[in-house]
Amino acid sequence: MTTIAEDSPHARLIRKLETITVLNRDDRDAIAALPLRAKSFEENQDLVRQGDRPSECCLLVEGFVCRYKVLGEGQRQIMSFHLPGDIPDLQSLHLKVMDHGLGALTPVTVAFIPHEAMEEITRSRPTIAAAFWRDTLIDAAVFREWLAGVGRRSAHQRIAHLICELCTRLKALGLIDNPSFQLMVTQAEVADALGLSSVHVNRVLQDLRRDGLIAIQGRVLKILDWEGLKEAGDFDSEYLHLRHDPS
Amino acid sequence: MRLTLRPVELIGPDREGRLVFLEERLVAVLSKLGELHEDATGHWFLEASFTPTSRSGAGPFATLEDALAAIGTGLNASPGIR
Repeated sequence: MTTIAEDSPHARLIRKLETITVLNRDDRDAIAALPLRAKSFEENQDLVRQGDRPSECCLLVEGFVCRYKVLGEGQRQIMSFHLPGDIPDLQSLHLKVMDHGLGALTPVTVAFIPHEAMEEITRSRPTIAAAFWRDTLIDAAVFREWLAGVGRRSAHQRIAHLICELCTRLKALGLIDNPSFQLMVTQAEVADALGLSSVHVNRVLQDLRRDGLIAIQGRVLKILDWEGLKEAGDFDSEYLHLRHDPS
Repeated sequence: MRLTLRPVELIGPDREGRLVFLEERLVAVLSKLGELHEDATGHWFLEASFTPTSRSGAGPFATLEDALAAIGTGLNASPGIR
């Protein structure tokens, strides 16, 4: 059995996949043998741009990344947030042109995996191929949930829902063990993700504080009333399809 | 195009507002942002726009004149409603 450090890029990917599927020792060894090329990015840098034709997938190792599009008038729509262990451009294996960009929201470390290596591991390890497929399906489930939110939920519900989602995903990955976490996104980025203005995001965060659901100190957000926040956000973690709901 | 303003009190933390009229027709609601908004305190925010091409939630604008200019641009781009 290959031994890998807990915070290594390979370990991050294994931990992520094990939140949604069961891997055996051979699967884990095959992932641990994937060739990687590490690279760091500054906050606000693009990892991959719309229109690029990537020959590698990028595994997020440290930091926080978003998928986004810039619309005609320069407005940005963020379509998803990504955490360490995610491969946010996994679809570039089969969709050759990027139809959106990947942006670093914090200083970020990624590990690039050549497409040939990804194709080889999916051919030789059907369980890993199924895990990547499952991850892509869950990606789509998250998009459906966000679409329902942007289309039909109030500003209060959208923001409470997003906080619940991020907390649940961070916990599932073992990146936090209590309902308190570093806010890795700015109010403007939350606004761009939820189709709101920064003014509305600021007002709603103050309301959630006043209602005793959250506390914010500097950039640390603490959930004070998990059940209350779930109710405020109409949040049910089923769409994340986690093997174990960490809450 | 002559836009006129009427003061109004809004519900919520940013109470000072203006109704914006084109002749007698309401085209937008603006609010003046309070201390809650730190760097944007005193700026004007487009709470609601009733022109098809303006987006509610635009701004904040540093001055009332800037906000009215943006509303005017939205109206000029919406000839069907004039």
